[in-house]
Amino acid sequence: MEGLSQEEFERYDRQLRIPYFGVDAQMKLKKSAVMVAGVGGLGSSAAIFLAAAGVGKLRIVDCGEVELSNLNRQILYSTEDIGRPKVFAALERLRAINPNVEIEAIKEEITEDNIEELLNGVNLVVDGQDNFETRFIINKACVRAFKPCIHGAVYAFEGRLMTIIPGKGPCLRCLIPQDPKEMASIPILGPLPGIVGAFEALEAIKLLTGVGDPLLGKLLIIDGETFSFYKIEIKKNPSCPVCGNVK
Amino acid sequence: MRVVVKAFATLRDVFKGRAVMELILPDGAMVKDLIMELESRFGFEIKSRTSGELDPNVKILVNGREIIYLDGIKTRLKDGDIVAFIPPVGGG
Ligand SMILES: [Zn+2]
Repeated sequence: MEGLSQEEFERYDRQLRIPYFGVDAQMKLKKSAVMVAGVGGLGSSAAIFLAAAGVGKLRIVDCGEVELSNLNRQILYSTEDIGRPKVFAALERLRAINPNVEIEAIKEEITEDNIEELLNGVNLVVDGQDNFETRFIINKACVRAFKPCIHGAVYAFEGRLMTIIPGKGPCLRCLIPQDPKEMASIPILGPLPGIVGAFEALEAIKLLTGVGDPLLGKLLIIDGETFSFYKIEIKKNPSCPVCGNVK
Repeated sequence: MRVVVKAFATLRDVFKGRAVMELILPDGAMVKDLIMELESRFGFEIKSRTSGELDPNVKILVNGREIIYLDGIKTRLKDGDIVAFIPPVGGG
């Protein structure tokens, strides 16, 4: 792959000005591929920042259509997108933001059967899910494939973030040992998935470029109601059924 | 003694949105006494649906330290302690 074009130098000018980021990091982003697993509230925000930052390839996976009740937080979509498959509306929007990025839109539900193939060729996964079950499917597959997964989740005024690097720290099953009760329509204030999705993009950019320290073995809790941030230590469970035997 | 309870996510809902609740407990009370108080007064639910045991998904911290690294639910509380209850969150 050749270097950066004149257009890219100008487009990424402000991030290239970060002394410890620069052209090297930008080239690493350009050569990277990220899967955004779910383009709802979290995935909208994460995908927008990843595309804008110049990640080479984004694979966006979601089986849903845009609904009116999505629009308080899913900032990839407009009112006229209601009824359209999310991944196709997202593809147009992301391409408009940055035509340099290769976007692969996959309208599928993530399952045990297709996750392995979906992970093929990507460097890491950004969790944009809205339920626990699919998150656990992704977690297990990422641990097996030794691919990092940036975990994000929201509830009401609250956000959570944890970076999972198989072999280096705890996985989602270490954090949540039992299957929690699933909720149908989870209350969410729009800025929270916006914040957490942006943080997921930040973590992805850090991992892809090797700049900074990832949020490894720590759960970040963002309490938007009181404006408090907590980082709590999460230990790897040596008898974790998912990652316990991964060294 | 006074203990400060910080509830997160779904558990905050039973406090009618209040992030912080101050409770008076008898001296020498343990985390399990606090849990019983929260269950009876607010309908706090942190028992596992299946086992009836304390839900392992809910992290309980006393002054920022997880009780599994202290004395579990037998961790003794003292005046001014801050106890956090953190259930998992799954929205997106
Ligand atoms: Zn694990």
